[in-house]
Amino acid sequence: MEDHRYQKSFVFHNATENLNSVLTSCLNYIDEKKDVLPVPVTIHPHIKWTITELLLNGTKHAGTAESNLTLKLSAENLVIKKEDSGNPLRLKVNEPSAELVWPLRDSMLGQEFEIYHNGMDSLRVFTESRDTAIFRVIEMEDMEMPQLLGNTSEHFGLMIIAKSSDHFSYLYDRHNKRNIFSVTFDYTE
Amino acid sequence: MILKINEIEKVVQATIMPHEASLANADLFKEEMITLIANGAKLIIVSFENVNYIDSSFLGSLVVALKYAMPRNVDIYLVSLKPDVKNLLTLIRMDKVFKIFKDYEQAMEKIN
Repeated sequence: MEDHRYQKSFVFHNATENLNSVLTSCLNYIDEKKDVLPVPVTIHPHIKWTITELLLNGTKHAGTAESNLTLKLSAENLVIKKEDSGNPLRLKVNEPSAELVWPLRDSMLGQEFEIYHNGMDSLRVFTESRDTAIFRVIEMEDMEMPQLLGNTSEHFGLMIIAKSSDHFSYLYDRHNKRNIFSVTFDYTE
Repeated sequence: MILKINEIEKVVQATIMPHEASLANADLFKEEMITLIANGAKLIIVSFENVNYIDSSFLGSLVVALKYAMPRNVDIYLVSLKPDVKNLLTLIRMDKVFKIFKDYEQAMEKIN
């Protein structure tokens, strides 16, 4: 069992003007713990991008006044969770074409859908259960041209988080009506 | 205005003034870029020399500006990107669709 001895939560008031102060507080917390649980400097930009995009997601889509962000540090990894009580996740996906709304219908379970691709990377979501989603990015082969301009950019944020981290998932807590995004950075390898 | 403009013979040097290129100013950036294109610019060199931080909303506005520019035969170059900003563009492959140069001088050498 992982020992997350160090953890801290931050409240974000889902407004862009508050984003930078929460981001700075999160980065300061990681910096404060660097002597006991150093997070490799090489992934600091990835952490910064991820926190930014998680908070931005709250600003744009949550439809609620605030989100909670929790950082959990261990010797093996950093886990970032963003929770809010706003609208459940809703995604339009391409392959196969569908609109996914959590909690999911039974017919949508156990499948992998492409959310978007830019000609080089394919952002996908795996519908593990009615309440969960696992995001990942697959490098595409044999594509001649990046098709970045042919696709909408509304999923840049998900792409950034999925490419920056080692594990990125979503859970809809039906009992408490909470959205929980979870991002893990492993640094033992 | 978030862009500081210097135009010479339809070549526009557009310097982003805020330190943060984010959701807060992404729409304004997009509007100013589209206005420059609509007003007849043939090349817009966007300088990120002041930008320490960029998010997906602003990146989205950059793409919208390029999509508006391309059918009008307008080029958009990006210059003076700090490492974190450039690395984020690279992460989502935007370095494949934008021409990126070290600075204005290097970008101008390309067109001369």
